[in-house]
Amino acid sequence: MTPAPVLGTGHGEERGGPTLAERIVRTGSSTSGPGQPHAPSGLDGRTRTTSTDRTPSSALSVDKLLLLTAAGYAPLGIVAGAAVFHAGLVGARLANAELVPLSQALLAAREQATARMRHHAAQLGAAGVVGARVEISAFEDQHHLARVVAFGTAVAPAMPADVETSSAVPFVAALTGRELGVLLDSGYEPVSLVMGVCVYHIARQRPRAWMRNLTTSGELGGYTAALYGARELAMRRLQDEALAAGGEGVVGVTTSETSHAWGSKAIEFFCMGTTIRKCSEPRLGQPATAISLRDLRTAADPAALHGRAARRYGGPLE
Amino acid sequence: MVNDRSGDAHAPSLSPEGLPPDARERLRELSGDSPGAGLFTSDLSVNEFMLIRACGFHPRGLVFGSSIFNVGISKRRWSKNQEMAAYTEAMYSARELAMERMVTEAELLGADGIVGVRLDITYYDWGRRSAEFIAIGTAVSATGDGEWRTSAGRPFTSDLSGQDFWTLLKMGYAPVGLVLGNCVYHVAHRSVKRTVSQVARSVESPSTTQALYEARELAMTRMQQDAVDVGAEGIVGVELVEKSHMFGSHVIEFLAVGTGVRARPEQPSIPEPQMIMSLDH
Repeated sequence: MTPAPVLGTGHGEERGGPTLAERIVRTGSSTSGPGQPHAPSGLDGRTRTTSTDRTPSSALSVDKLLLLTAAGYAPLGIVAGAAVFHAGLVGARLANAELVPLSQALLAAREQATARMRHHAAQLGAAGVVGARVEISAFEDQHHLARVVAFGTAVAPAMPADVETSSAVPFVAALTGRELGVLLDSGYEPVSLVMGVCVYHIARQRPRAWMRNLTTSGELGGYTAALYGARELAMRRLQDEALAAGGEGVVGVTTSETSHAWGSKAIEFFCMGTTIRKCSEPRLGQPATAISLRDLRTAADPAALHGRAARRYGGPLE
Repeated sequence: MVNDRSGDAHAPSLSPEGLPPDARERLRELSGDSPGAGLFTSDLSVNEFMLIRACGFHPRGLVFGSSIFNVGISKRRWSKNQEMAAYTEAMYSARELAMERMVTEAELLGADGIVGVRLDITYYDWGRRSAEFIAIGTAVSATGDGEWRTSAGRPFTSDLSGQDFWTLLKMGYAPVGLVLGNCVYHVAHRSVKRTVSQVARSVESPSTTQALYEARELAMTRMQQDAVDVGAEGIVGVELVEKSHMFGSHVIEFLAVGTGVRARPEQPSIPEPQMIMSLDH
């Protein structure tokens, strides 16, 4: 008997690309209104079948599967959630100020997509979701409509007695299977994804100020205060979420700023991380020093040799 | 709530060590009642988190600093190699301001240092001649005794990853500060006569070589001076970045960044490395 393949998502892994996202959106976006929608039937059926087989997949890379298994978990399949929302219009304003309704909408859409993914995982009987990602994009012909897709790999303890979990709700983590293993061994467990959003409107410079800035160099105090403050506000909201989720810390926080379809008038500051909390005594020994025998030059990723500087100190000016 | 009513870009809204009100509020929530009791945030990966704990530190919070800087038009001679001192100064001050604010945030948390510092530059559509300089890092505190702060009593800064930080500490060194030097240089245009005479020949262009060489050396020298000033014994992980930013062609910034380190009083024995075959992709 040939078992149906279990799909996996992980960082830096080649996925099905747009086809997967499209499929999820097509099935997921038809659900609307409050509450938890039913998981898409096609997806559900596939993952259900495989979850009983417990057959290792080909789409999770070998080392990821190995380490996930070593951590006491087995993959159940992809889980996903989607939300479509209306981003509204940004009118011209004179002041630097937060656009509160947009901040709320962008956060709510992401939270809802994530909650649906978590619900989907719970239906499969998963202990949690690893490799979770939340992606936001506009529809090609309707820029004011944005879709949010959350997806990840649902995992369950291979031997239920192996893994002690202190929560009935599946955890959601933007961690790879390998990172999950290291985290559990160092005595922590993931709790949930936490996010913070602040959409900020940028005012134009006044003509006089613009003239003065043409020939002088210096800090733009007003702008600095505004954008610095917006960033802090987004981060503060992430912290509040983490505290509410009962976490002891947040790892892997990523920050981004995007203008979406608003042009240069508004910027969204977004940060996301994985909340963790202590669950057991650390089992991990002291790390040892090692020399990897892998030749960086043969690696598929040339960034390993040249990219660090470019990545750290700002990308090309485009 | 952040709300700046003045469209005037030069409004003096932040002092060099001034932080927005939300920053203070955020850090107050993080520091908790007693050190280490509150929530922490970090941009560390799980491996880095584990390694930082393994060498006797714990993360305290993600700290930011930001400065939006305007760079005005400055005179340059078409056919002359020269440093654009005003630009060098502006690009350096902006980064210093951003880092200063980040360190101030770490101080508010009572942290001993900042690891994994990134210096990013973001350009926005609304200002062609301005850019936001951002410094981001994870503030950490030592769990045990030992003096980790700089001689000025401030938290150390370093752009080392968790892995590099662990290795550095195991070798008996401690980071002192992120040191940087820069030089914005105008590279002369070639004269028409020379361009024509060289159009079919492959030769070195001595004046261009000279210009780039000198600019690079200036940036490196300034970084070294920076390291001497903070009391470092050496610099690890130096990166040399050259970019034209918003200056257009023929004006290039050379930036040298590294982490200044000093030896710790106690010198541990360095463990013999094992050879491993990594299964990583």
